[in-house]
Amino acid sequence: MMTAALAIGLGCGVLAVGLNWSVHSLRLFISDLDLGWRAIFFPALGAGIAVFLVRSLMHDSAGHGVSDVIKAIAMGSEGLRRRMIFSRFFGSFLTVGSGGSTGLEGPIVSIGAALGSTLGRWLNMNERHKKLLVGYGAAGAVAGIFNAPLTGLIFSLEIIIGEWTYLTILPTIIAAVSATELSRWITGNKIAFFQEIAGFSLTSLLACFVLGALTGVISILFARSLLLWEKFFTKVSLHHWIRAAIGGLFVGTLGFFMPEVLSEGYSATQVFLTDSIRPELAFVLLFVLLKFLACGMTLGSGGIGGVFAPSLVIGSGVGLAFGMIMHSLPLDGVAEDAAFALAGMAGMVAGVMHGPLTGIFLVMEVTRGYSMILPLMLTASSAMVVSSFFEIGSVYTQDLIKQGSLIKRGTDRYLLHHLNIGDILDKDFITIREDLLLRNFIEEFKKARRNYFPVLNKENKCVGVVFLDDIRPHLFDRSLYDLVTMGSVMRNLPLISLNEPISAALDKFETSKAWSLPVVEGDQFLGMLSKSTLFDHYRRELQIQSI
Amino acid sequence: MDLPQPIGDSLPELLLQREHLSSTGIGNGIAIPHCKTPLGKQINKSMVGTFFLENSLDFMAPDGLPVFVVFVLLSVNSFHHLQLLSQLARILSQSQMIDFLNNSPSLDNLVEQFQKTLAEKA
Repeated sequence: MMTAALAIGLGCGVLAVGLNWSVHSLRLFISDLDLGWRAIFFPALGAGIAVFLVRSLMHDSAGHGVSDVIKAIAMGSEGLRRRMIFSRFFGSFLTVGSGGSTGLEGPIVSIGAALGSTLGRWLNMNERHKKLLVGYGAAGAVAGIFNAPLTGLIFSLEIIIGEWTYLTILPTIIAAVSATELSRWITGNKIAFFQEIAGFSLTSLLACFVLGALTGVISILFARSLLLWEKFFTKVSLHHWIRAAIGGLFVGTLGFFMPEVLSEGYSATQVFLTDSIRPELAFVLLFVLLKFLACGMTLGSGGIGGVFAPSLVIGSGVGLAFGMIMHSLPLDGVAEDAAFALAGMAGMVAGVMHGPLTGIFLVMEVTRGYSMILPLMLTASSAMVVSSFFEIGSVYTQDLIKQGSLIKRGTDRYLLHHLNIGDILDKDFITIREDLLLRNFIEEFKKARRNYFPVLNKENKCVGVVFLDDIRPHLFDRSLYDLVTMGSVMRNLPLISLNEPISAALDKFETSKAWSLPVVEGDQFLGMLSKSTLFDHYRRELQIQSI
Repeated sequence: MDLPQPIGDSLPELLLQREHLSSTGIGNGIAIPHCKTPLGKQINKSMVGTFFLENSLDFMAPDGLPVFVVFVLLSVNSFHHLQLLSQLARILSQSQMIDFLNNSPSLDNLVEQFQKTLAEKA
């Protein structure tokens, strides 16, 4: 697992740097063209091509990224196919590079997770290990793109895996550190938003509660606006790529009036954090509003990107505006505006993603400042409290909760979803033909290690199971040797499909009262799933998760 | 035998399918034809039908003797199938029962004899 985590981390580091570099190169190329008002068409062109490429050519769902990964952790890593690595890379490159108002973090998390899942399948790992590899991929991706290993670790454990055990922590650290180191080796150890914050007075700390509550409310509005935009564009009965292009055209138009809302928007955050350049309060508020709209239109129309960067950027704007208002009040010892901008970033991440630790550590790492820890903690926690009071899930999990696909840790369903039928099949049994006579069965019985015998027909299809207990009283009745065929004494049992959830398989055990059931893939018989083996693995999984 | 229509029509074919696997003749002119798999809900209850044949048939029985009486066994599940088959095979292997059957007894006498033999065994 450690070696796999290292490989995934290095892969994520390369991909994160590659994606970041490609997007910024495309942005630079477009701005160098100096096309004036005609530049409004670029986001439409980029989003249209991206969605056509991803949905029509690569047959990917093009979700928001992190939701797909959380769903895969809950429902099975099979959902993260190898093609996602390519589709999300090129999809987000075209969407964000052309000016789409969204972030690269969601797609890079999907890419890292798909990388982990693909490696797990390639190494023929069981479902539990594959899911851990998905988590390592997510950690490597976040660490690589933000140059923030601790944030990668926290993001993966808090939001993706949701499990803090020694089995998860150590390899996740390896993935996060290796991705960061590789990213630093290629691009240098750049600090995104270096800040020296002088200190926080009690007044400023108390103000952080208010800022936290404010970012909590704004994060709710942000998450709901994304859903509204999605609903709005779903009603447009046009091809996916045309819808994305229409959304891109709206965004391009907004970007014509305020170019800062285009793409990730970190340049605006950089300005907000620079003391020497202080924009007007009205400009900051207008920026927040337009970024809100632009991001909703980009993602709602189907553009490929995530909400991580928009949350940070909107949070910085809200925080800055809050700091400016604080300074206009007759209060002493109010901290500098940039400090509130940073706290606002943590608050928005906590509110939108329901990940307060991710918000706190991200801002701390990207500013390289421990001095902000108290305001970050206060803002993120109060934002989380407000957001979780009104919303049952984060922006990533709301849909999953509605579909009943989100499984809470500590529940039976959570434990069972870490078990995969294919991984726990019994294969040390003897199959018999339905026309086998009792006389010939005696010979097979002598070699058997199990007390059941799957019965196959001429097409190798499982037609039932003979249980030793059923025939034991008659086993040595010689008068029956040539009269009894195995087909006549087998039990007809429900079949379990290989890809069936274990909870459904348990229902079949319950209704059939059987201790072992045949498992098939299509018509092909694969093996038997025994209740005792299942409970044995369940108990082991329970022990692992209790550590 | 009083059988529901669908199974009544397909029964000869089902019995022949089982017979093709191996003979259900148990020797001494007796055979116990049955289906390859229990009939389940196609019949209401497990049953045995006794048929004395006008002309003996070659069932390719282990002793080579032609069969003059057949006990057609139809069961709803594998448990009944094994129970009935086991009891029939054991009763029909007794020499006094073979002699009794050679006299083509009436239905009442046949039932009485079976009940007597089962009671003795119990």
